[in-house]
Amino acid sequence: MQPSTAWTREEAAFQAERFSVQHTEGLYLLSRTESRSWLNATRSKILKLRDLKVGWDSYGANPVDIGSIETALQLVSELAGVTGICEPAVSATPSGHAALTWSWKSGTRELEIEMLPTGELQYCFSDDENPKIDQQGFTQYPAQIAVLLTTA
Amino acid sequence: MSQPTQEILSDDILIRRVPPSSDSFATVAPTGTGRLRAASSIMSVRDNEDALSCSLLRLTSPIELLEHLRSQQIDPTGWQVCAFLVRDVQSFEFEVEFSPITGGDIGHCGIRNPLQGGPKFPNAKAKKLAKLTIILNEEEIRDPSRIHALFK
Repeated sequence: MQPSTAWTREEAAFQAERFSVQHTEGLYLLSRTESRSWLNATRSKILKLRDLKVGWDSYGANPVDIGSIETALQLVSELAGVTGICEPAVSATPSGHAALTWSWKSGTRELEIEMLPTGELQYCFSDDENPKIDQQGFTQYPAQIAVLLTTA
Repeated sequence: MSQPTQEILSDDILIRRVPPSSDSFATVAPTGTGRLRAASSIMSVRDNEDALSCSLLRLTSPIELLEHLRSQQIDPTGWQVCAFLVRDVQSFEFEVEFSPITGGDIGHCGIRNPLQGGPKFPNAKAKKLAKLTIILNEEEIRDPSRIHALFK
């Protein structure tokens, strides 16, 4: 079985530089051989969260927990290797947790992940136009976040 | 001595400080109407916090709200103010409690979840409330009478 879209020789060469292709059980699996270009910039933004001092929001916010920053760095490193995931916005919560937000182009869907110091990921997906599919919860698995980002 | 009381009306407007936005940490986000709103993390509370602090526009002007930063030895340069309606807060089943600060913000209020046993201020609702805020421009900060027109 061949992929449904045939590549030209040039396209195939270009894709081969960016992806490794595995053919298993009739499925073609494409994995990025190089991380997304946004990874380094996002990592820098996450590291800058260390500069936030106690009370950074003027309402008593906590400084950002180092464990939370490390979890965020690990998460973006893993997600940058997944096709179709774009750059998140980086922020912090008053509780002192790093947070990452992805907004869909439609402007109505958003996924926010708050990195807890325990390594858990607290996620909150919302769709203003279809609140029935809103979901929130906790996970320890970046793959679950990748699924939300690529299939929601 | 009993706490001063103040009737909070559905049409009242609340304001809250927003820290300076930067490339690494965006504290504001675009709305669909060409304005800016507060990022969801700015409308969240600390884990151990009962209520989200804000101020009643009737009693505290945006300029006064920013001037209060000086008492925390914070330079107000770059800080912004977001405004939102009491009615919108109530639509999420939150209540607004008048809680003036003696010698400080006379219009201070707290937004809290009146339901016992549940989360004090759930993230999902904070995200939705953030989307209903409007970042005030310089003219609106100087002349608060313009702010009411934003919510007509």
